[in-house]
Amino acid sequence: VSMAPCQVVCLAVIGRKNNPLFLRCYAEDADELRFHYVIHGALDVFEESSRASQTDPFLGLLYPSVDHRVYGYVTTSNMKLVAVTNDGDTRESDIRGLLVRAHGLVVDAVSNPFYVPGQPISSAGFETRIRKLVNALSAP
Amino acid sequence: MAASREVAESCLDLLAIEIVHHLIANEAAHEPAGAKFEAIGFSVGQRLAERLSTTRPPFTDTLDVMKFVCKEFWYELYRKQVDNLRTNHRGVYVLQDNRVRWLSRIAPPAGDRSASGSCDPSTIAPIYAHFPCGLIRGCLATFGIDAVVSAELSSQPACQFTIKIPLLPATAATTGQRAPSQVPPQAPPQGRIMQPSPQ
Repeated sequence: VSMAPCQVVCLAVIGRKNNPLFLRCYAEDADELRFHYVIHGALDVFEESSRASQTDPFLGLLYPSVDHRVYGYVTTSNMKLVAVTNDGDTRESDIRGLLVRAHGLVVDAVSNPFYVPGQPISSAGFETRIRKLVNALSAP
Repeated sequence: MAASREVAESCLDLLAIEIVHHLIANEAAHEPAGAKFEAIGFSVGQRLAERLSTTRPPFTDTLDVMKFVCKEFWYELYRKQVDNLRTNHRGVYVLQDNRVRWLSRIAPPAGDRSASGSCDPSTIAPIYAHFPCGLIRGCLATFGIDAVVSAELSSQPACQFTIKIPLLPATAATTGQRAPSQVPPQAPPQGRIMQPSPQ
């Protein structure tokens, strides 16, 4: 287990019909396509958990990956939030807090009357706030 | 958390009145005023449902969603719950609200108030009813339910909303019965099992 600080390298918001609404990589050397695959693979875990009638929106660690950890969160309206972190010193409660706050930001972005539900979220304010949230977790 | 900002409720009432007048004045042949108001309601309903469902556990079935609409959703909008919910368990739900806010403020039809056609209450009231229809439809859409919502104004200010949810083809075939949630257990195929060779 490496002792490097935990860092969120990627955050994604996926809509009801499994369409991506928002995906941002926050690592310097990130290969965005690879994260698309990682998150696509995570969707299967969401399907399984929905069939298992889970009441807690935070699904925890979705599946182990080579050098990443993938955490999931599903809302009552079936929107999915996925956070990918590096293999650092992670505490699930921190990730849970991050995803809960990210959910609040997504609801705010959706409430924008100029936003068309189902389309990718293109609000600059949303991006700034999400980035601040991610940085707050990474900072020691 | 930032302090929640509040607006007087009468502002919403006045806004609704002005929207209806504006829509009637600019009514185009292909886009009746009621349909536009319903579309506004749909948009608002989607976003409000998203916001109100943040702290809720997932819904178990459609009836659960309807109860949410009748209780929390309606309370948030009109500070009261829906008075009556009926269903035939085949995808049709009827919501009864005995005192819809905006309809209760419309003056009863007067003798000759027809200075301009738009002042006639009997034509205006149904347009007001389109907005809650859109709200319900938007709320259901957020949870993945495609429905058709219509309103009946039998006696003002009471209003009845009829929600038709198309059933899945499997359930529609078996009339009145719920689709079996489990596949009936099948007998294990006996013939294929290799019998252990007798020693």
